[in-house]
Amino acid sequence: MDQRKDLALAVAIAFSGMAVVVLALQLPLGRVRDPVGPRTLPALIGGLIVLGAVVVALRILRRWRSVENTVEAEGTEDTEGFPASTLRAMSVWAALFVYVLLLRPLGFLILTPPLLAVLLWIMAVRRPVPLVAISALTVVALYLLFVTLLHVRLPMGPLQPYLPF
Amino acid sequence: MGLFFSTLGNATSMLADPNMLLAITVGSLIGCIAGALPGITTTLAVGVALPFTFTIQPEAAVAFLVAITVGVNYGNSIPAVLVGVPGTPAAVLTAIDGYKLHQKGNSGLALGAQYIAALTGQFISTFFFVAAVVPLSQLLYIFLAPELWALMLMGFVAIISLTGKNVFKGLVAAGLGLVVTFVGRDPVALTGRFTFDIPELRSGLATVPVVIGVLAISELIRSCRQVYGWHEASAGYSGRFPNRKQIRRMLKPIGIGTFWGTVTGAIPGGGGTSSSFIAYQQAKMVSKSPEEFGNGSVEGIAANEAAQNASQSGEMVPTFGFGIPASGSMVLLLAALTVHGLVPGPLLIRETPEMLYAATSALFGGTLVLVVVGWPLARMMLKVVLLDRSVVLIMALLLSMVGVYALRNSIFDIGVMLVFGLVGYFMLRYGYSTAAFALTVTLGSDFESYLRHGLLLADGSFTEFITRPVTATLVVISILLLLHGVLSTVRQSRRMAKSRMEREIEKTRAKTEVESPTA
Repeated sequence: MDQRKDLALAVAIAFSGMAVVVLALQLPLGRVRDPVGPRTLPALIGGLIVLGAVVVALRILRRWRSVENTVEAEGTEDTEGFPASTLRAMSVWAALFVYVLLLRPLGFLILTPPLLAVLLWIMAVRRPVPLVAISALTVVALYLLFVTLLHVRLPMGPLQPYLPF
Repeated sequence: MGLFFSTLGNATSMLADPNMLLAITVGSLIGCIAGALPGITTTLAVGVALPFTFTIQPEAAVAFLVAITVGVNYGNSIPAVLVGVPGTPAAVLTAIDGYKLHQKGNSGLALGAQYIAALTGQFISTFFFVAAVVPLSQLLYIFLAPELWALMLMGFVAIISLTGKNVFKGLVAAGLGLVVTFVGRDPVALTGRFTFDIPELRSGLATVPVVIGVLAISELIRSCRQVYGWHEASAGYSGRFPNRKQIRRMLKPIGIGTFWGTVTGAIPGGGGTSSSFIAYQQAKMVSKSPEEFGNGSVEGIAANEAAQNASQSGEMVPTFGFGIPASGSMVLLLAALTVHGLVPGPLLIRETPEMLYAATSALFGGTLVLVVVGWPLARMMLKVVLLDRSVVLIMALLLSMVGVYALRNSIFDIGVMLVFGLVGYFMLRYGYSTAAFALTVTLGSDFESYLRHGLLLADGSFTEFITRPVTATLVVISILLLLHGVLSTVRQSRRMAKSRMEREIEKTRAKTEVESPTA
C-alpha cells in the first residue's frame, strides 16, 4: 500500500466530511420540529468523518519517516505473483460508466456486444473468435433470460419498434 | 422449547412447497458453482444474485440467498483440494491438507472428508442456530425505539471494531455510509436533504444498488486489476471414499469445528476464516497424529470444513435475532429483507416468523441437496475451475448491472451502483471497511428514525433516553467494543512499526557488511 495515496485519500475524505458539515448546517429546519432536527445528525456524522480522517492522516504522517513509500497493506491485497494494473481496473469501470450513459439512446442490444468486446479485450482476451462469440452469445442469453423469461423492459433504443417484447 | 420445535417443524414443512424447494435447489447449485470459482466469495455470489430475488416471494428469496451461502461454503473447498486454490479465504487450510492428499493420489479421501465434515457441520449447526435465535425473539417486548437505536449502534460499533485492521478507517467508513442515508426526505421534518435539486434523489438513494456496488462491484473491479488463470490442470483424480475407520477419526474434529464455527460465526467479523483457523488448531491439539496436520491430514480437513460451514449458521444468529449482520453476505440478506418491506431487528421473527422458517429450511434443504448431488458435483467442479477468470469477472459485472436495472427499470440505479462500486474499490484498496459502510447504508435510516422518535418519546431528554436499562447496557457495550477496536489498532500498528524497524536494522547491517567485508 502506497502511503502517499493512503494520505491523499484520508485528506479527500476529511474535506468530504467538512462539506457534509457545511451543507448540513444550511439544511431547512421544516415546520415539524423535534429535539434533534434535520441538521444535527448529518453535522455530527460529518464531524466524525473529519475527525476519523484526520486521525488516519496523522497516523500516516507519524510513520512517514519510513524509507519506503510502500507499507503493509490495510486493505485487500492482490494475489501474489501476478502483475496488477490500476489502469486496467479503472478502464473496466470507465467502459461500464460510458455504457450506462449511452444505454438509453442506443439500447441494450446495440450497445452490449461492443461493451463486452471492449471489456474482454481490456482483460486480455484478444483472440477474435472467442471475443465475438462470447459477446454475441451473452447478449442473446441475457435477452432471453431478462426480456423473454423475466419480462424486464430493457432499454432497446432505436430497435424498440422492431422487437416483439 | 415449543417454539424451537415449531420452528423446526415449519421449516421442514416449507420444504414440501415446490417453489421453496426449487429456490433452495437452484440456490445451492449456484452457490456450489460460484464457490468453486476462486475469488468468488459468499458476499460476491449473494450480491450478484440479489437483484434476481425481488420478483419472487420474500420467503423463497430468503431461502434462495441462504441456500447460495450454503452452496458457496461447500463448493469453495473443491478447487482447494483438486487444484490447491481455495475458492474463498476460509478454505485456505483445506487447500494445504486437501491438496497434499490429492498430490499423493488420495483425492477421494480428501473430497470425501470435505463432503462429510462440511455437510455434517452445516446440518448440526442449523439446530444451534434455531436454539440460539428463538430465545432472542422473546426479548422483543423490552425493545422500544431507544433500545433499537442502541442495538443498531452496537451493531455498527461491532462491525467497525472487529473487522478490518484500522478502527479509525472503520469509523470513517460507517460515517460515510450514514451520510448516504441522509440523502432524501428527513424522517421527521419531511424536508429534503442533500438532494441538490436532482429529482432522483428526492426519495433518497435506493439501498440495494449502493450495497451491491460497494460490496460486489468493488470486489469485481478490484479483481480486474490482475489477469491470470485460476489453475494449472489437476494432476489426476482418484474417487475412493473414506472408509469407516477414517470416518471415525473425523468425528471429534467435526464436533470441534461445528462448535467453533457456530460460536465464532455469531460474532460480527468472526466468520468462516477465523473459526476454521481456531478449529484447526484445537483439532491439532487433541489429535493422536498432530504431525499429519499440514501434510495431508483428514482430521485437519474435517475440523476446517465443519467450522467454516457451521459459521454460516452462526452468522445468521445476530442477523435474524437482532438485525445485526455478522458479515457482508448477511448485510446483503438484510438488504433483501428491507426491499421486501420487512424490518430487520428483534421484531422480524415475531412479525414475520416465516422468514426464520425459510432461512432454517434453506439451511436444512441446502444441506440435503448437497448430500445428494455434492459428491458427483465435486468431480464436475473441476471443469468449472477451468473457466476463463476474465470472462467470469466480466459476466458477473454485466449480470449485476442488468439485475440492478431490473429492480426498478432504472438506469440511474446502475449509475449509482457503479459510482459506489468505485467508492468501494478505493475502500477495499486502502482498508476502509466496506461491510461497515454497507451496514450503515442498510440500517442508517432506521438508526436516525429510532433516535429522533425515541427522543420524542422521552420528552426530548437525552438523559432519559440513554439511561433506560437496556439502552444504557448496550451503549456501554458499544463503548467497550470501540475501546477494544482502538487498542487493537494501536497494538497492531506498534507491531508493524517494530517489524519495519527490524527490517531497517537488518538492511543497514547487510549494507555495512557489504561496504566493509573485512570488519
